Amino acid sequence: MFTIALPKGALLKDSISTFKRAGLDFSAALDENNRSLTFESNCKRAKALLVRNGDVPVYVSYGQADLGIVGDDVLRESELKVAKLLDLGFGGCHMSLAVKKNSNYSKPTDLPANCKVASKFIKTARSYFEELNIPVEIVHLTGSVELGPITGMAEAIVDLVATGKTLKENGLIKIDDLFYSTARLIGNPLSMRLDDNYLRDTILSIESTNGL
Amino acid sequence: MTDIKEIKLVDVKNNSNIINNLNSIYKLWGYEEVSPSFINTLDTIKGRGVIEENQVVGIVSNDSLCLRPEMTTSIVKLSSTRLINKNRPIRLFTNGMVFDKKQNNQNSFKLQEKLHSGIELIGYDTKYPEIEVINTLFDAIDNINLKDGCNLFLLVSTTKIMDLILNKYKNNNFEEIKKSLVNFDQDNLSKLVIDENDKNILKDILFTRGEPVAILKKLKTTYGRSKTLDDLNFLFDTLSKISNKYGVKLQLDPTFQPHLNLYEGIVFQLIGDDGKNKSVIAKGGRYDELVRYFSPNEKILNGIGFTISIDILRNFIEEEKTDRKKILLIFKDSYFLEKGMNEQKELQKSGNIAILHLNPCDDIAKANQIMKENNCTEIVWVK
Repeated sequence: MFTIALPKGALLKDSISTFKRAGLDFSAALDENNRSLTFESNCKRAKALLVRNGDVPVYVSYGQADLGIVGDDVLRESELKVAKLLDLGFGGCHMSLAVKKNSNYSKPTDLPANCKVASKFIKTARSYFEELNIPVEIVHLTGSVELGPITGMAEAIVDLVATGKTLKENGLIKIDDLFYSTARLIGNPLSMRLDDNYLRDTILSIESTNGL
Repeated sequence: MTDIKEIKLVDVKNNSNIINNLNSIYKLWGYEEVSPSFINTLDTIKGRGVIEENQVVGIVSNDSLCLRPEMTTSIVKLSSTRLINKNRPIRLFTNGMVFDKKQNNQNSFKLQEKLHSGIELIGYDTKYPEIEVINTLFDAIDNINLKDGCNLFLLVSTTKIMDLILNKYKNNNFEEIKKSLVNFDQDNLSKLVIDENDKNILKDILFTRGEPVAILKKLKTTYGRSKTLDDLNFLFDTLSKISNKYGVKLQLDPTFQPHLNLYEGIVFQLIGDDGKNKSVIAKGGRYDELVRYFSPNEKILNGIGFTISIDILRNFIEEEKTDRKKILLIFKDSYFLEKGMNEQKELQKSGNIAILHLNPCDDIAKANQIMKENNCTEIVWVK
């Protein structure tokens, strides 16, 4: 039996559908009355761990899960050693740079040197500004990043933008996209190397049944 | 710099037992112990450039000194200096600390001390050293009392197979293809701008691994017969028989390559799986170019070895159960000290652990408490 780390939250429903099409049914994890964190597939071939999105690469990298589904945004930020297997296409959103609507900044190079940029994704933000050769101070926030520019703590934010509604409601506008993030299937490198074809068959099945 | 860990007393004891067991096997195979310094010049530690400067921990000094991140380079250097006049082949083993540097963020890094043990076989001009070194590895691990249900796998490949796979792409996305295969990055592979047929072959290779004879047969079908694959038949045929004897599953994985670019030729990792954790217990391979780098005038430039990570192996061992008594000797006043020391020696000669409490005591309740605090099984009153 192999183990799969499934992300709680926005990616869960599509993740379960993805595995269901490949023959592994973890629908029980969608039952709101069920507080269990581990689920066996109906066929008993695999077990799922229900973990926070940000923890999926950790469980996979440390080998507690053989496969996992996680957003590319989290994967890039974690920098953990995992096998990147498939771009699953769902859960799409942009990693964007946003500023206050009434600021005079319309592109990243308009930002003043050494200004503060708030983000949950500090490695992603740092790497982006390093590539642009713009010196900034990255301020790490763990939630409600939009408050950074509103309170005057930061000139800009780097955050995930799905519809843009939250930005609009908080008087912010997007001035650049860093990348488009989608859900990814990842694997533990050692599990992949020791695989007796169980993982390979599951991956190929996901690929074919999801039209990838 | 952060996160320097002290290890627990019980782990120190287990480390020592493991090292003793491993050493006894290395010696039976004719290996001699050496002890190269874990501090060396940056030039030595970098070898022929296989280790990056940012991977090692420097020491503040007038010379450019560093802590070694692995042991092979310092032993090969030793074989080309102090042991230069020793007849080849030479069989060496060593145990000691290596220092792993991991960058936390821009301004700090994590330093981990790791205890390693390993052998190096240098100067054999045949294709058999691989077989002896892996055989010795299996024998050494077999001498360790592993937990029930711990399965062992030898993941093995040779850089020659990777050369065969990549030969066609020397001028076309070579590095990207190699990176995708080695890092198991199917996502990146699928995005490369190469012929779709080639992409399907590479994807198939990425998912190809298993019993060596079957894998070599498949590689011959894909890439045609070659001397490389014919030579590997003999090697894996012999290794399969040895691994069967020790109950180790042999897994030939064409795209497996170690993180350090130290090896050329055979590369391998011994992996333990106790059902909860999978970890790399030992890694090794052939490093002829490293021998050439340190001894350019040597005629035979073959070198191969392995390193066992004791800290990882320790997680797979069965706790030692001792039936030896641990006796606490207590004397009532200093007049009995000498007698107590004599009785202690006698108990030790009989195979017991005997501890003399060096503070006179005549209170039974207090003596019982001291016995408990020292994890002793009984008290002997010295009268």
